Amino acid sequence: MIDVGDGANGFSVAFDRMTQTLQVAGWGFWSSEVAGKFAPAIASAFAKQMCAAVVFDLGRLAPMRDEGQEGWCRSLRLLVGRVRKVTIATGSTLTKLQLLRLSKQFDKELALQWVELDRGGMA
Amino acid sequence: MMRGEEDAVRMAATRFYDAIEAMVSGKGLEAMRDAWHHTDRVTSAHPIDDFTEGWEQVWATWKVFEPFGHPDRGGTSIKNLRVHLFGDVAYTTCMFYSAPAFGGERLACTNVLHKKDGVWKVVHHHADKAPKLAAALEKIASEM
Repeated sequence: MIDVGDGANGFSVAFDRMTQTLQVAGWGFWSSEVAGKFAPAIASAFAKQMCAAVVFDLGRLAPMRDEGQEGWCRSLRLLVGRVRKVTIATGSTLTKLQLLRLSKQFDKELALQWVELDRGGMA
Repeated sequence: MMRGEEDAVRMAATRFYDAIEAMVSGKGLEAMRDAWHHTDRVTSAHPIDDFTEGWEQVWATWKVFEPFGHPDRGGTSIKNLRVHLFGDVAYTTCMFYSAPAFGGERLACTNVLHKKDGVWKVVHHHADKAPKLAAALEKIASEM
């Protein structure tokens, strides 16, 4: 399990061995420091195990500053050719709009599934 | 003196709405950046989503809208802009009409402005929720 940030802004990365799924959660308005650690954390997780799928629980993530957007794109680039299924759950329309635009460039390479959550993310 | 200050507030609020038109018309966000004080004590509630707090977070939300701007998507307007002045703080109310490309909705809007270093700028913006705007943005995003 990788935990970065704090209760106000951060993310976590964990691996579910039963489903071979990387579970990534993000919340708050990422500082530049937190944003800069996102893609390296995803890369580190992939270095340790094979994943069949990735689930991003971003139900409490606010629209990101430039560094967060760069980290998002870098993390999706890491997934290309490595996973079959990517699920992105959002709770904010603005965050979803931002991620939709950023993720468009990976439409052909990744099967992205979008899920809308009520505020608060997954239990 | 009062009338001069009210006019200054009116101009600052009008600059804010002119900045929205510039944004939706694809002219970028510089005017919107200039319309606000940049401090931790600013807040915003767009027609979609919840309150955001602090200039960095507020600015991040405006940047979500920026890519949707296009010369063919302009056409916002405001009516009945009213100014209410309390020393170096003021609030304005108006009806805002979103551009047809973004749902063409009629939204009641409130802005709070603060005179700091002799300049009136926005410290809070609050608009009615606009479901058609959200739907229009998602449609445009899917077609981008």
